[in-house]
Amino acid sequence: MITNKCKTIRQELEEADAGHEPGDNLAVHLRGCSDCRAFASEQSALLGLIGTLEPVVAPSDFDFRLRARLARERSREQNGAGLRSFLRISRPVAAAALVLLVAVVGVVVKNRLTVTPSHTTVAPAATVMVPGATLGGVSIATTSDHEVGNTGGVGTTAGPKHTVAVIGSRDVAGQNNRGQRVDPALGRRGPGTVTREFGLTPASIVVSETDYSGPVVRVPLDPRALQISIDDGRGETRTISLPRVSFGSQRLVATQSFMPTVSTTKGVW
Amino acid sequence: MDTLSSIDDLSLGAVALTPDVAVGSASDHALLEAIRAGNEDAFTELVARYRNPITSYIYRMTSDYDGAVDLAQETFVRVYRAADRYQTNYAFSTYIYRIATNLAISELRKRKRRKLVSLTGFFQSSDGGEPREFQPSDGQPLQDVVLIDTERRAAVQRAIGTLPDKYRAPLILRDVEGKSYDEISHILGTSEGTVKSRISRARGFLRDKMRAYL
Ligand SMILES: [Zn+2]
Repeated sequence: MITNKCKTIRQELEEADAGHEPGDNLAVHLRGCSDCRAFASEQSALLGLIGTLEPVVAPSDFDFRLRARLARERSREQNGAGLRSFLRISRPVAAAALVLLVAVVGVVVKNRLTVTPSHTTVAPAATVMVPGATLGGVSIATTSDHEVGNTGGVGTTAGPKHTVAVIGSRDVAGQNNRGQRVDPALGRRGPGTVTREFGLTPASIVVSETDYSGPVVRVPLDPRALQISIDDGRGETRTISLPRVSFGSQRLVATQSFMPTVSTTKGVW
Repeated sequence: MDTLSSIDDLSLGAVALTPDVAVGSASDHALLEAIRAGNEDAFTELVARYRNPITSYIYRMTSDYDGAVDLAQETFVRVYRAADRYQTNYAFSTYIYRIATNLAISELRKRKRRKLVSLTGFFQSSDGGEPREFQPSDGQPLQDVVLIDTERRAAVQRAIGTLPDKYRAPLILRDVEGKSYDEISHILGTSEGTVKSRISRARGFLRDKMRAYL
């Protein structure tokens, strides 16, 4: 039967070195306890058996192989250092190239967006207008400081004889009307105002077919700048001023109404 | 005029290595200090001191001589590479045995992952058949003629090889390498009580396996 004393004795035996002579307490217990005596005997035999294991010796070329291994490690580290230094240089270059690429793409995209504003409305101060003119089925905003006799807004012509015909309208891939949009926010700006995105569809070339034979009086240009309000589509409206440029199109008709017409590049006069 | 090249020379009484001083008389710490300074002879001396014990220890752990040599070399490579970071808190012996233990245990775990039976060479039958589990004799007294030393040692090595990793290392360090419990606890990074407990269990396991030889 293994008692607590036996456990203590066996722990002593475990921790004793091989060939260790038992102390007095240990010897007394072993004399009276056959189990612990057997344990001590087996323990001694086991440690003796393990002690027969002879030390293993490293091969004679151990140092040589170790030197070669270290040399290989050094060489690998140097190669690795070369690669690391290359990466240290190339990473900023690659990052700079990436930033440059993003910037270029950003500028291109921004330019395209700027060229094709979502909504371009002619502010009330605009003067180059064709009252009631219809382009591709869409009326052009026709408010003007110089409105003379223009009372009907869109669709109301200033002169009953004045008609405008579209003589040339370049259809871009058949998307002539896709750039036209009625801005739902336009109700704030004026009733019935329709905008046209000329960036998506080229403006129609119109000529006046008015068969007018009255006197033509040239008038000086209005020194005020042309003001255009641009809606960027995000609720922001920007107003830009453009200097007036005369193409020789303005004229006064006999009714004293200011009747500017949209000129063509070829010129009507 | 003697000069102190590091605090180690002062605290550990090591001999500062100069070209005039033989590395053979230097302490392990002094050799490490010299290795840091680029003294190749110091490294050679350190290898000469530990190559056999480390190779032997790893061999007892892995039961594979070629693998043990390879891991022993890796141990020295790590010592060399980490010479700059070496701390003298413990004896160098503790430090290098710790590296060797980690490498050996790592190798044993790799073997387990590969589902390879440890001690394949020992357990493989002579005809190259399947590995067989170590089986001690049936308890009948073995003939003296059979119990030649070589076979008995092989049986001990086989039995040690069947010990779980956590029991194997402390038993080898204690009963084969003769390390103290304190040093073993530092090598294995565990408490002395745990070391004693594991060694006791390892011996009990070996007693059962080796009963026919006891
Ligand atoms: Zn007892």
